[in-house]
Amino acid sequence: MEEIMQMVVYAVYVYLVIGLVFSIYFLAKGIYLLDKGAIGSSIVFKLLIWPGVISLWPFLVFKLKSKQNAS
Amino acid sequence: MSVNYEPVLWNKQKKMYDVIVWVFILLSITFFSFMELNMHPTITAETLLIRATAFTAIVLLHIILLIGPLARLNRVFLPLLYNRRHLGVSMFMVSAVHGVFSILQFHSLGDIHPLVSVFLSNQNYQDISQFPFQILGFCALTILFIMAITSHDFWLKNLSPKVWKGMHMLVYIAYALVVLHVALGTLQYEDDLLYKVLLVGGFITITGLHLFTGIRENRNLKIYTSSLEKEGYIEVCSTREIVENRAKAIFMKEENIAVFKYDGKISAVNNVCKHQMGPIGEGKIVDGCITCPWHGYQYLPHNGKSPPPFDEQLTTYRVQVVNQKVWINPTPMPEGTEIEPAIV
Repeated sequence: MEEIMQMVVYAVYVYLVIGLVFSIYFLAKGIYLLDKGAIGSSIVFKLLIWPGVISLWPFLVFKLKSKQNAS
Repeated sequence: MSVNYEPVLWNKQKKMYDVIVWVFILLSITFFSFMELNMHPTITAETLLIRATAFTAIVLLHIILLIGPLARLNRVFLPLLYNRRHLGVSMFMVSAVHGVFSILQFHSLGDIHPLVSVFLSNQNYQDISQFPFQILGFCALTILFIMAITSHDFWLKNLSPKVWKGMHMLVYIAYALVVLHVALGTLQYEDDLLYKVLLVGGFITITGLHLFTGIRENRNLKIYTSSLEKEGYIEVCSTREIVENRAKAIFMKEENIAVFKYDGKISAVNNVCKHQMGPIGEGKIVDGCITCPWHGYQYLPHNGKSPPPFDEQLTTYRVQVVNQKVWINPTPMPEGTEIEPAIV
């Protein structure tokens, strides 16, 4: 049981590291493709949504893909 | 309402609200710490912090859950609703201090990973007095974390109001987990009756108020049948039943409709705000716009569109006034469709 839980914790770490890497791209470029309202937004705004970008990155990848396919 | 995202939409009132919230948090932590030191003079600083933040977070969670039904019962409480999001994030911050210090104190000193320890250090699931209540608290904190990080309007727009609202309704699951976390945890060891009375009293107040407002609203929400239907229009009320610049909320053919009276005219729009699904029909006309009572989102009554440069749109409905009776066609028009208001 301990090994399984340990693996789950490591899986969460991997998930968050991918989210962290994705967040660099997203906050620099992807966010403007997804939402025009983010154009001209401040660094504080990006810092506020940053934890959400790291945690919900699969959703944002899906949204960006859908947006690219639609256009 | 905002076209571009601001980090925090502060105004004078909201700043005051936040100052009051944080003064309350600091006072609550101080008050509780003095009380605990009085009862348990040998308590350690870490335990004191864990308990004081737990107490404060639970009090805040109760206040957050009470604001909704109280605002529906009396408009006096509406200003508390406008900035509830900041109250929620503040509550999460206090809860996070409790959670992090609890994990550091009770789960970080062994050989196994602290998070693994939270789930495996106690597996007495059959014994109520020894139940692993920490897991319940961890799950509640995870829900509060998700809610806190998605509190910005960016998430509301991009997750869609429906998904966002559903996600934030998880607060009730978090509340249930918190109640169990306390009941199966601290209260198993605590002799003081005060904490038990507070927890049970809080639970009864929250569930009671939610049930009361729910039943009250269901009674007030008139469901219209097709007995008075003519050519797709259904008679809903007399024009005198609607207060000037206010609305009457009606439910017909699975449509939730707000019928507004203003400047001698009648218009009907969908009763659900595009922002956070607030009850448009409980709002009023301000500067010619329907104004949602929750966060002030505005729509023009004749076409359901937010005034430029905003782009939110509500469904509109066709209206007729015949012999001072209001007739509505419940077939929804596409969002933002201009409908000629009926003249009273």
